[in-house]
Amino acid sequence: MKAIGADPRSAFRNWMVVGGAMLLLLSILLGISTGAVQVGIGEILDSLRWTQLAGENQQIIYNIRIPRVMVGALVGINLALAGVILQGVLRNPLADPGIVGVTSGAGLAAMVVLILWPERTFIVPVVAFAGALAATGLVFLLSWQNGIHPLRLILAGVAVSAFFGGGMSALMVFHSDKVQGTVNWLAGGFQGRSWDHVRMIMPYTLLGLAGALYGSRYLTILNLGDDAAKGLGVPVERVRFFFIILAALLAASAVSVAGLLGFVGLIVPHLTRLLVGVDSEYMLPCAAAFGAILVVVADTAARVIFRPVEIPVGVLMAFLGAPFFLHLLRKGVRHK
Amino acid sequence: MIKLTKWLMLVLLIMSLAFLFAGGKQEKKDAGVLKREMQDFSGRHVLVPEQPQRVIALNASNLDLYYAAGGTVIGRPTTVALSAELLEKIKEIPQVGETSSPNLENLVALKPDLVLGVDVAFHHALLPVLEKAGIPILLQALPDYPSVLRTITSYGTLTGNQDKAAESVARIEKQVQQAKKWCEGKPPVRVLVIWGSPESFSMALPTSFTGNLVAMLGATNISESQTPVTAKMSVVPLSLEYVAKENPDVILLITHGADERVNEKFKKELATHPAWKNMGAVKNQRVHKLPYSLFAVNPGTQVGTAVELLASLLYPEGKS
Repeated sequence: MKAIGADPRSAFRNWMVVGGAMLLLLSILLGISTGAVQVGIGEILDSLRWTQLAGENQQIIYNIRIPRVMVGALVGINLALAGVILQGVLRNPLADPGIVGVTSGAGLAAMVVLILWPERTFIVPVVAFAGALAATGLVFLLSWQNGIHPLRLILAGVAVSAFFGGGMSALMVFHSDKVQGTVNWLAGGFQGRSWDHVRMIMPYTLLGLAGALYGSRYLTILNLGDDAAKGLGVPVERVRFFFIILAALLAASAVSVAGLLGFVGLIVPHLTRLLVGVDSEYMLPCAAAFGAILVVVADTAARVIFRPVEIPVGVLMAFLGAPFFLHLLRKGVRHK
Repeated sequence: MIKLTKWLMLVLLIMSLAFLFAGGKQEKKDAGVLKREMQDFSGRHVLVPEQPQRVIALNASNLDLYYAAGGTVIGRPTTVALSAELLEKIKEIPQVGETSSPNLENLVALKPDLVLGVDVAFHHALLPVLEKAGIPILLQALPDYPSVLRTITSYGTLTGNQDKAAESVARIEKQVQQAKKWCEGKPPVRVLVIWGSPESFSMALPTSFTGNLVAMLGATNISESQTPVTAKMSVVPLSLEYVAKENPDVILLITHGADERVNEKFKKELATHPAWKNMGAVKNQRVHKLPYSLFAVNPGTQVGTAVELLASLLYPEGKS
């Protein structure tokens, strides 16, 4: 295994990948075994086997808790991958899924439904997804000039976000009595998420994982700069285009089922970079795992800390994640 | 290492696919006990038990109305926006969380046979899970006065205590009749209803709940001539120029919180701002803050009291 000139950090990074996967599994188990209602381990196992006695505990585990944890993990994976990809492709440390217009497009589309047709709430994921893609398309159109230039894309993203943001503010002002109904969605959360939502986001997560696996080399090379990448024979424009589309799909699917959960897409890539370095081959899987862990653990905490009252998961995620991130930033991570 | 990653992913993919298929199974609930079909405010047709025994209310007004119809609940929202008498009655009943984010696990664990919610997005979001669990949920809204009475009556059929419901309705109607009589024959006043927080004020349209009550008493809402952008709007941002032109006789203020500071801030602004200062309502000291419990949230069974209060503010004793 050990080739000459192997990266001395590779052992540590291998452990991070394995450790990340283990931790993710643990946090998912934790998420399934804890909740507002205490359910014994035996009953949890029973409900997985779907026995005939379909009691409330079975409902709680199978139709409420497991889909919720799953959606959380998938959303975490998608947002983290989207963040890593965008920060890499745009070579901007502040890039997050919001930068390609995903957040504002989904936000406005969802808000229109939530305020004007609350009885159609069930179409919100579809509408939000469409809105996110529409906004991303707009950003692309505006920034396209013989290919995508990162700076132009970022500026177009800011402009489009401001435009859609204006629409959201207008809705809030003219329906100030109904804003309450949208707050949960805008803060992001996993309440009431069912298997339908798992099914909605799963294809994009699979696509994202496959794309990340396939494209990780290119992402690392893109980090060296356009000229260097071109010198190494990478079709820069095409690769960048592919990655941005992938990131937009990932972020749009995440936002459409979870609402506007910021933070994951911005912080997790940095956190991962601090831990495993910039090699995308390690960074992408680690970021996916860390993103999922962060969301699942935060959502579990949000469910149980003040039960039966739930805290918006976005709030908790910021409270948990930001200090940890700052700690890493100050201390730095030393690799031998 | 790369091989290992690929393996891990493959395993994860297979696992997730397995979950996908497993999720397709759905429980068939025995619909035998669900006999009554009801249409809720959002237009859904819901099969509910003839006489539900285990009801959970997710918000204060539904709880209030259900008790007014002679019912009891087994789960209640984490709220204090209820009359002291009712709060005492429900003290021991388990809570299922805030109205805006009820805890689904607690909800299902209580084994309800009917849930009463609001026609707002955060309760629509509960539908997928509750439907799978076979728990019917009625989503109600109370946009105007008649809807309050209608809801009490329909809850009366659910509780099987129609007499109690009719009694509650009669009590409210009597109060409203008296208030209307009090206002009859007096010259109509022009009213501005303000809905706001210290930093932003909106004007309530006749389509809002309070706007509806004001119209019932024969007063003119100065926002009447404002055309809302959509039919669903019940408030518009306040335009000071418009208000100055319309010069209302009475200004009623509803605040988002029970906080008294809003009232003070508002009064101060009225007294010092040149445009407000010269308005008839301000000069004649006919600016009133409406009580939070009756107007900021839906008054429910207290609607009669709310109407009486409005009548006394719009047409005070001695002024004709």
